[in-house]
Amino acid sequence: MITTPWHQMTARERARWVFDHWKLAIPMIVVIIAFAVMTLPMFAPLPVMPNFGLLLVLLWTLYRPQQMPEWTGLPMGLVGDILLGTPVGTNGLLLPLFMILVRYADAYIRRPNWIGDWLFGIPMLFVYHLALWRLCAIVADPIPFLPLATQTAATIAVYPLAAHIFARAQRRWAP
Amino acid sequence: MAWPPRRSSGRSSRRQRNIALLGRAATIAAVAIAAMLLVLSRASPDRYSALRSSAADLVAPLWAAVLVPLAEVQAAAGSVADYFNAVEKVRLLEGRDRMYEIERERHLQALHENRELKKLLKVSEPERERIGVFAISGSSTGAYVRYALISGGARDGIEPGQPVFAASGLIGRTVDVGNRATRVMLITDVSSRVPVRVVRTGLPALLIGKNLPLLDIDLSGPSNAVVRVGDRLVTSGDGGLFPPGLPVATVARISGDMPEARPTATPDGLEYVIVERPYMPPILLPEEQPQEREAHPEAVNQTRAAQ
Repeated sequence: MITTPWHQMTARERARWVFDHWKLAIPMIVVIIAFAVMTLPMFAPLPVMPNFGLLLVLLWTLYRPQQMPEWTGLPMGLVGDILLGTPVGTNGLLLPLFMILVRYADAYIRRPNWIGDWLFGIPMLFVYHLALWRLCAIVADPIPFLPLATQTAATIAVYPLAAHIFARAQRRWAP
Repeated sequence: MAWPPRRSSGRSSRRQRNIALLGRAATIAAVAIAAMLLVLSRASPDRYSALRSSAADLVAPLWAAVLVPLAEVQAAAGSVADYFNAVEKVRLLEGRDRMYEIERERHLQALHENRELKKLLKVSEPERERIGVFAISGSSTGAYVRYALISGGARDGIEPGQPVFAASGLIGRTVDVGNRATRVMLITDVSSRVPVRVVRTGLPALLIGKNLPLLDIDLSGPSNAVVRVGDRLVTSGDGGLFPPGLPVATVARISGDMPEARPTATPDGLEYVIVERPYMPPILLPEEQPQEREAHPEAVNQTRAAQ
């Protein structure tokens, strides 16, 4: 590991530093891929596509908070906004606030096992979608809540699957 | 359980405190930037259209590649299923064909007569012009918008604001056009409005999307029409975007203040859609030309002076 300050490095050393630390970007890359997966062409009458990106952010914030600082919510959220069609900036604004909320609640609520974490995630995901709904209604056209409710339910249902993917990502590419 | 675990003691090195402080500052900056972007997108929702269309360009080929084997499997399953009860199916279809033969003859005569009459009256009708047939290769049908991605873009001649339909009916209109992919606003989207006509009565109505499976039918036009369950709704051609006569929806429920309709065409990941030019492109009047959002008042004045 190079410990020279950035401004004293040569270009070659800087390139080396970036190459050595690319693993720091893995959480962001995985979440962005999850947002891209949500654009699968599946047209159910009501949205049943879970919010994979948000779930992964929740998992990272719960289990590996140091790998995902709050400010990374901005770039991830903006990519999500562009891919999912929400007004640009809604997810970008809400993801950092969501991470702060989860960290705060995490410090106060004790859970015995992963099922406890799942139950803990339910109000968090619900609050996020509720805030998103209100924010979308303020910024753009008001939308009905029913599709959001089905999406929240789907998101809660696939928590174990997302936890599995998260654990695989950790084992394979842990920084 | 968060890992590494939190320190129970409050002691930390100066370096750690600095990093924590930097992180907090970055978070505040991120929230502020996001709020600014949000205000900007409130001011002009179309500002990020270029970004969205380039994102479509990136995502669409991905899904197109992923869905190829799926389409093959579906086609194979379909052709296997076709062999079951083949004889009965052929007999049924032959019988139906004989039944419709007379109707077809009558229809052709009516079409011919209609053409002749229109020629006599010197009716000038705009031509429908097809741009191409494209596969659906993505969606953003979250809870917020109902959009589809199609695998054709500016290089195929698609432009924003063109009608999109499938074999069974109207799908929507093109919105953000990338080079190779386009985002299509479905008729169920919350900001979609489609002028329609009730086939049985011939009276106009407006179909309003609401991100739900059913569409609202706004009948509060000049005619105050009445609909029944099962009535078919076709495009009326008002507004000049959609060609008249395309099936759009069927009235499904009449309750509450607005009757509701079910769209006839539901897009599917393994389906193809047709994109056409707008039926009657809007005529730009000279004084309406510099009405774009970015046009500065000074620039507008200058162009007016030049004209």
